[in-house]
Amino acid sequence: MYAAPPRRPPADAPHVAWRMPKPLRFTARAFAEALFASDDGPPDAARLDWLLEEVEDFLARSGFRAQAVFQASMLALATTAPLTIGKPVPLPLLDWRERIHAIERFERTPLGLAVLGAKAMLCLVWYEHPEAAKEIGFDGRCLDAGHAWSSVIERGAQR
Amino acid sequence: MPYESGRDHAGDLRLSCDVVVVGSGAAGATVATELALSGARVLVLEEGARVDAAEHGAMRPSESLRHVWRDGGFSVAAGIGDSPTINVTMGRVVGGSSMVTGGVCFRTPDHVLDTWVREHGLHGYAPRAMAPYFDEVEKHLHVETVTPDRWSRSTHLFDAGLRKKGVALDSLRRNTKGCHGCGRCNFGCPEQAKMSVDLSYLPRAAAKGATIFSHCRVEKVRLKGRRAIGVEGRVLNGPNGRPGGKLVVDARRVVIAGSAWVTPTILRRSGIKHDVLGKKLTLHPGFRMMARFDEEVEGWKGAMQSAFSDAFEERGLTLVSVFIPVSVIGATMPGIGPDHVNNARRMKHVAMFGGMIHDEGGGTVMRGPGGEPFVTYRMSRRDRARMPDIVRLLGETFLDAGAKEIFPPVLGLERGLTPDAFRAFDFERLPARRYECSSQHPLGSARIGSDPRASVCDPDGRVWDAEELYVVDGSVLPTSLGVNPQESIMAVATKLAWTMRDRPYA
Repeated sequence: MYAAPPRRPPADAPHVAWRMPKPLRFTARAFAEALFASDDGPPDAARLDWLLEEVEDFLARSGFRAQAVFQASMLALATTAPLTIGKPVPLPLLDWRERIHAIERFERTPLGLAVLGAKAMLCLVWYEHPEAAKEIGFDGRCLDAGHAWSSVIERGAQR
Repeated sequence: MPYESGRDHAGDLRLSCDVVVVGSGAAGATVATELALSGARVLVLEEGARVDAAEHGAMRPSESLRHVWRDGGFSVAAGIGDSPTINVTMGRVVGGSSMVTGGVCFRTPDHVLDTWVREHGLHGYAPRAMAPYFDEVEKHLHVETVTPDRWSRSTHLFDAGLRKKGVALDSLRRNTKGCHGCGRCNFGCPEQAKMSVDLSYLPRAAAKGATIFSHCRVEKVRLKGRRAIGVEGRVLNGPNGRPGGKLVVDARRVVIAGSAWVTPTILRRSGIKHDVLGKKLTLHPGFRMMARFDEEVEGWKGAMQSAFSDAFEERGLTLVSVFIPVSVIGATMPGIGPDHVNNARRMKHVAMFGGMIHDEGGGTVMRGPGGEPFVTYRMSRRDRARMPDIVRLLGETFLDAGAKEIFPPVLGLERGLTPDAFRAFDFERLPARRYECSSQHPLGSARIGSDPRASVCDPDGRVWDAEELYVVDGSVLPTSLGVNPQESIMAVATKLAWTMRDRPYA
């Protein structure tokens, strides 16, 4: 089992406290469950918990515009994506297989850019987890020892 | 103290100096350093934080995005009509976008400078006249050629494909010293090998008495009649890093170096009105192409950017190598669920190369919610036709190198395209909104020129009809360049700073 990587904000960074609204967190989790589902099914809950905490910090620090992009993307996904497969219910209420189908269909509509916005933000964080990095074959060795990402992966692997 | 943080000052902040420079990026740092060296009391105001090399190295890419990049890397120029919506990335940190570039350095091509002379009346910008400024910048930035042993396997594969078209890649020049090619230049160099302006310029300014303030947002220029007498804004010392105390600066000269993205909004708020202010923004719309090979590529091993080709300049296209961190690549892997996961798991086999369009100015910077810039982009018909051209060129080059699957920059694909499917794909009829497009080079929204009706600033960077108010950043460049602009911006900033240095205060 790999350890979740720590956060190391610069000394000059402000302290921020912003919580993701519950409906937004609910939709983001449902989207992430579908996005990162493998042939074995959705990823485990602990990885999703870590992902959402990191995304929350990301949004808190990235400011109004990033929050607006993410919230608008999630709103569009939650309300419109299910309609593309003829299911008039919010996205999180669909089975994860149906969610995948709905998101794929939605991505090809004129509102499809919303999928890229949401997907980009989640993937940026997801693939930094040592376990995800290992799954895609990234060993962090391109970074000299002592630098955060490689050392985080090495430390995680030793546990 | 040469470096101060607005966060360390409770309440309001009032400062005075000879020259206040708004922005600490490539242009702001250059002009601040040159003026400090001439004896002026210089104050640099930066909206973002100050992050040192050890802190850059300690952060994961997504942490860097949240602390170092404007809008967490999610700034967009909204596409108008049949134009793509473009993700525009910029730094918001002491050192500005020089902290997040790949370090690529090009002199402005002679044919571009000739256009400036011929069409914009900028006679002091002819290639021979600009040479000393490029020399000066290159001396301080330590510009060197990337040796082929720093090329990633991904770049070598693209080169192999290109050679089948009778063209070879050339090595890029970058501002580096002792680079080991760890491939994360755009998330702040952890080894101080990229000579960004926080290393190459600002320390020299600080040594000559300049003060660099982080967490200070300038909102407008203070004008007395036509004359600039300082700036005002907010110190970002409120809760959650939000605007807190009032910031007021008294200065004899004001230099705006906030970038082509931000500068027009500051000028407009200051009461500067001009028909072309905020208009004709160019972006160099960029496209990345990914291709899967049978062999393990591990494209992250090598310099993030190392080679280029200008062989297609006549078609308005420049090809530049790039390999972004895997977490960012993951975000562009097609598919949802198992399709996405299976694509991502083959990332070791993926090569990547990029290209950009030498565009006509189709962008407009307006004032958006909260006073932040809101930018739209209407692509010209000429540039619109270049999008399928560049995507085909990049993909076919990889196919010539033996790629088995192509991941074009197209939204809504569930999986990569086989060689036959790629060749048959109708890119020409694909709506522009489905192209995945990005930019790192906003330029030209407050251009210089000799005609006051067609330009915001005179050839010396002075805002027409104002005194002691200068613009010195990418927004003054009158056209796009077709190459990465960092060195051009710094050379122009050096030229304008030297002119300013020799001019007495009003």
